[in-house]
Amino acid sequence: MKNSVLVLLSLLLFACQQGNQQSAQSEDLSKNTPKGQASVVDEESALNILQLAVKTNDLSTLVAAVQAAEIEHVLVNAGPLTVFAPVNSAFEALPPGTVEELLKPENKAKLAAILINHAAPSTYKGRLLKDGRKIYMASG
Amino acid sequence: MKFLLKHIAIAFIISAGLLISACGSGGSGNSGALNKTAAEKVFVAPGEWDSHYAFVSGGFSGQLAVYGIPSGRLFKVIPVFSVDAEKAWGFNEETKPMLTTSHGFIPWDDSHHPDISQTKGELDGRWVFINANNTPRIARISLETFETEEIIEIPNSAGNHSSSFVTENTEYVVAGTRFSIPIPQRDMSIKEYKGNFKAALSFLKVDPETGHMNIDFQILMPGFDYDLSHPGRGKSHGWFFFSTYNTEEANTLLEVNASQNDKDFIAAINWKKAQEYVKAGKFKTMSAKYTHNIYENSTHSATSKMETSVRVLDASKLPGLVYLMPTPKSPHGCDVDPTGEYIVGSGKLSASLTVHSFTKMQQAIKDKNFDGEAYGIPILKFDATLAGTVQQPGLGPLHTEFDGRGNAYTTFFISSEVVKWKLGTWEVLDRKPTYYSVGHLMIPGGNSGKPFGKYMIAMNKITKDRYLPTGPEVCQSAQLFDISGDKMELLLDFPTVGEPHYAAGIPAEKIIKRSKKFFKLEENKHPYSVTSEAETKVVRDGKNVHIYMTMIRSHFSPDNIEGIKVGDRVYFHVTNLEQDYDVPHGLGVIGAKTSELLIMPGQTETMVWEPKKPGVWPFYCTDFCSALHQEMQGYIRVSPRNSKVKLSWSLDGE
Amino acid sequence: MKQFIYGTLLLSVFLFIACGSDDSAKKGAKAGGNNSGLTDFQLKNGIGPITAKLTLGEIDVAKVKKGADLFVQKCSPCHKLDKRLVGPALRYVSFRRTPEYILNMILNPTGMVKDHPEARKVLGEYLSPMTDMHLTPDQAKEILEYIRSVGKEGKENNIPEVPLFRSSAK
Repeated sequence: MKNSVLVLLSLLLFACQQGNQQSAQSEDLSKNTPKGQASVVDEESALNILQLAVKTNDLSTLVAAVQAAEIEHVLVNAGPLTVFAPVNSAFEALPPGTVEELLKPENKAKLAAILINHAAPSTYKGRLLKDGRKIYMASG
Repeated sequence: MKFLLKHIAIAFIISAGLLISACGSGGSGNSGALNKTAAEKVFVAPGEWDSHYAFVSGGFSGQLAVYGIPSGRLFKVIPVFSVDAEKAWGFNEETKPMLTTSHGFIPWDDSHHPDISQTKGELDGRWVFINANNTPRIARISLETFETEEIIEIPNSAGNHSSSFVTENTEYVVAGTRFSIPIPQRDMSIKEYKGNFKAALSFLKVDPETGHMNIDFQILMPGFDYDLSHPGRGKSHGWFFFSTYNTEEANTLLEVNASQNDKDFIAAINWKKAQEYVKAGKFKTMSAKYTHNIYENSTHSATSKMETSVRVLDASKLPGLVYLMPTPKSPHGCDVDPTGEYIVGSGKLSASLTVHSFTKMQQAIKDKNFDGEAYGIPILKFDATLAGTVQQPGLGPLHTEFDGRGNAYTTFFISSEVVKWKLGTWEVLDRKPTYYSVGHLMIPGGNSGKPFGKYMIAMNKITKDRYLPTGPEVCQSAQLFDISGDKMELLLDFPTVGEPHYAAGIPAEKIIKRSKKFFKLEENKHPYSVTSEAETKVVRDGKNVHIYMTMIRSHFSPDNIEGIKVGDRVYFHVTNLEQDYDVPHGLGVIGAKTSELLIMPGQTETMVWEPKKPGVWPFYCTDFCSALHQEMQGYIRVSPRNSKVKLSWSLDGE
Repeated sequence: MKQFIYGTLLLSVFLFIACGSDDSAKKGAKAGGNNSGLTDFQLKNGIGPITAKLTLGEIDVAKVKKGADLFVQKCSPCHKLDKRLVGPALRYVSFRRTPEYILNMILNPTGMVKDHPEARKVLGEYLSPMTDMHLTPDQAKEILEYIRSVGKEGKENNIPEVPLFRSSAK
C-alpha cells in the first residue's frame, strides 16, 4: 500500500518535471523534422525516387550529389516528378574535377540548381517523350 | 510508527515541492512575454476564447469547418454541399431543397475557397461564401447562425474552381470555370475542343441587406482553363483577375499537353465596363436551367427555384472588357496585394514568381502596347505590365497572401515550404518548411485591403509520419505560424476535416456579438409549427399523418400516439419550445430511413417515417439535453392497415 | 498504514485548496450576515432584475387574461396548477413566495438555480432546471397576476394544495 502511494507521488513529480523540460525546449519546432519528407520511415510502400536511386548502384554519384545539395525532400514529394537521372558514367564524362568542385559545401546552391534541372513536374512515361514536345523542368 | 512518520514527512516534502512548482508556473510564464514559447502562444486556457476564427474548407468533404486560432480547436463543421446526418442537413424535409440542382438532388460536393464578405475592403464578418467544385454552385453561410442560407447553381460552368471571391464591398461574388465546355451544352466530338469549347465567368450580385445572390451576368471567354481569381481592390477596384492554363486548348493528357506554351495568361476583367455593357443592352439572354435555393430563418425551411435564363457578354466582341497579361508557365495562384497595385502570378511549372503592376497595366492599355490577340481579346506585352520577378524562391509556387506590412508569403508545393518576400524589392526574407506539400495558405484578411498579419496557416496535403497512423489514409493538416516578427515561427500543427483546401480567417470580435443564441418562437413561421403544448395535434390526410409535436426539457408532447397504420407516411413536425441558448433537442425514431433531427431552440424540423410493421415503436431525444434526458421518450402505436384503432394522442393522459 | 494514506490524501486536499482558494475567498468576503453570499433582500426576494419591493394593488383583471394566455404558451409545458409535472404545481406559489421572488424566478431562472439556496433546493427535488423563456418584465408581471388570481380562486373553492416537496406530503 505504502509503495503505491509513493509511486503515485513520484509520478506526479515526474509529470511536473516534464512540464519544465517542455518550457525549456528550443523555440524552433521545425527542428523536429530536419529533412522533411525524406525522413519518413516507410519500408512497405513502393519505393520513391530517392529510395530507388539509393538502391541503384549506377546512380551512386547522383545520390551523393542530391545529399550534398540537400534536396532529398524535393525528390520524395507527391510531385509528380520525372527525374532524368544521370548515371555514374555520365558524371565521369564531365571534365575532371567538375563533380568534386560541385560537391563542395560552398557550391550547394549551384549543385541544387543543376540537379533540379533534371527533374520535370508530371509523369513522363517513355512513349510520352515524343519529338517536339516541350518539357519544363522544376526550375522553370 | 516512527517509520511511518518518516514517510509522511517525506510525502509532505515532496507534496510541498510539487505545490510550489505548480503554483509558481503561472508567474514564470509572464516573465518573458517577448520570449513566449510556441506552447504558450497557442495555449488557450480552459474556458478562455481564441482570438480568431478560421473557416477551413473541407475539400472533398464538401463542408466548412470552424476552428479557433491560435489553439487549433475544432468548434463546428457547417454542412454546406454534402448531407450531414448529425445535423439532418439534406435529410429533414426542410433542408432537402438546399441540395437540389438542375441534375436533381445531389448529396455531395467538393468545397474549395471560402471568402468572407467585405465592406470598404475590410472583412465585415457577415457571410462566408464558398464554391462547389464538381456540380458548380456557390453557397452563402450566415455568420449569425453558422448555417448555410443560400446555394445557387452556376450554369455554363464545369469544375467551378476559380471561385468564390468577393469584391471589396461584396458587390459581387465571382465564379470562374476550370473546364471549358460546349456552351450551350450539346453532343459533339471531344476532339473538336479547340475553338469550339468556351468558358463562362459569372458575376453574382449580392444584396447588401439580405445577402441574396443572383447571377448579374456571365462573360464568355476562350476555351482555356480558369484556375484561380481575385478582385482588384483600392486603385484596382472594378477589375477582377483570373489565372489561366491550358491556353494550348488541349483536350487530353493535360499533365503534359497543357505545358507546351511558354506563357499562359492572367485575364484582367473590367467588371465596371461589363456593367456598362449590360446597361447598354449589349448582352445576349441565353436560356439556362439552374437552381436557386434559399433557406429562410423565419420558416426554418428552404425553397428551391429553377431559374431559366442568364445574361451573357461575349469577351471577343466587346472592346475594353478583357485584357490578357502573359504569365509564365501555367499560373495557379492569382493574388492581389492589399493596395491593389500588384497581381502575383504563381506559374506552377516556374520556379520564379511573376508580379504584374496595375498601374503599368493601365498605361499599357492606354498605349495599346499589345502583343497580338487571342480570339479578339488583346494580349498586353509581357514587359509592359511586369512589376518584377521573385527569382527562384522555391519549387512549385502556388498561392500568395499578404500581411499588410509590405510582405508577401507564397507556398511552394514541390519544395514543401512557405517563403516570405518583400513587395517592391522582390527579395526573399525568410523561408520555413511545411509538413508536407503545402497547397493554400491563409492570413486572416490576407486577401483583403486590411490583413490582420499576426497568424498564418499553411494547409498541407500530405502528413505521412506527422501523426499516429490511422491506416492508409492519414489526415491532412493545417500548420499555424506566428508572422508578427521578422522570421516566421512555427507554433502548431493540427489535423483537419477532409482536405483543408483553403480557409478564411477573421478576428473573433467581428463575429461574436452577432452570433445568434436561439430563434424566437413568436417569429417561427414554419407552416407546421406549434408554439405551445396546447396546440399540439395529430392530423390524418389520407395516408399522410402529420404530427404537430413540441419538445421541451424533458418531454415530447404528445408522447403517446395511436391510430397510425402500416403504409402511412408519418410526418413528425417537431418544434423545440426552448427559448434558451445551447439547448437543442433531437429526435430518433426506430426504423426511420433517414437521419435524426437536431432542432435548435425555437426551430421546427420535419422527419418522415414510414412504418412497415404493426407494433408499438419508441422514439426519443438524441441530444443529451438535461438530467432527465433519458426520460425524454415516447411511443407510437402502429396497427394493421384495416384496423379500427382511432387516431389519438396524449401527454400524461391529457 | 491506513492513517498514513488518509494523512497523505488529506494533505493533498489541503494543498489543492490552498492553491485554488481564490474564488471562494472572494465570495466569502462579499457575503453579508448569512453564508450564502446573498443579501437578505435577495434571500427573500430572489436574484434578478427585481431589486426592490413592489407595491401590488388589487388583482388586475386585464393582466390576468393576458397572463393566462402566456401561462399556456410559456409555462404549461412544465407547470400545471394542481399537479406536479416537470416543475412544481403553481396554484399557491404566490402564498409560498414573494411576488418579487416569482418575478426573478421567471426572468432569471439560470441565475436563480445557480446561486439561490431556495431555488437550488427545488432543483434538487425536480432535477430539471427551470427554462429561460426570455420574457419581458411586463409579461412576467401578467403571469404574476394570473398566478395571484388562481391562488385566490383556489382558496375560495377549497382546492387542496399539491405539496412542493414529496417528503412534506407525508
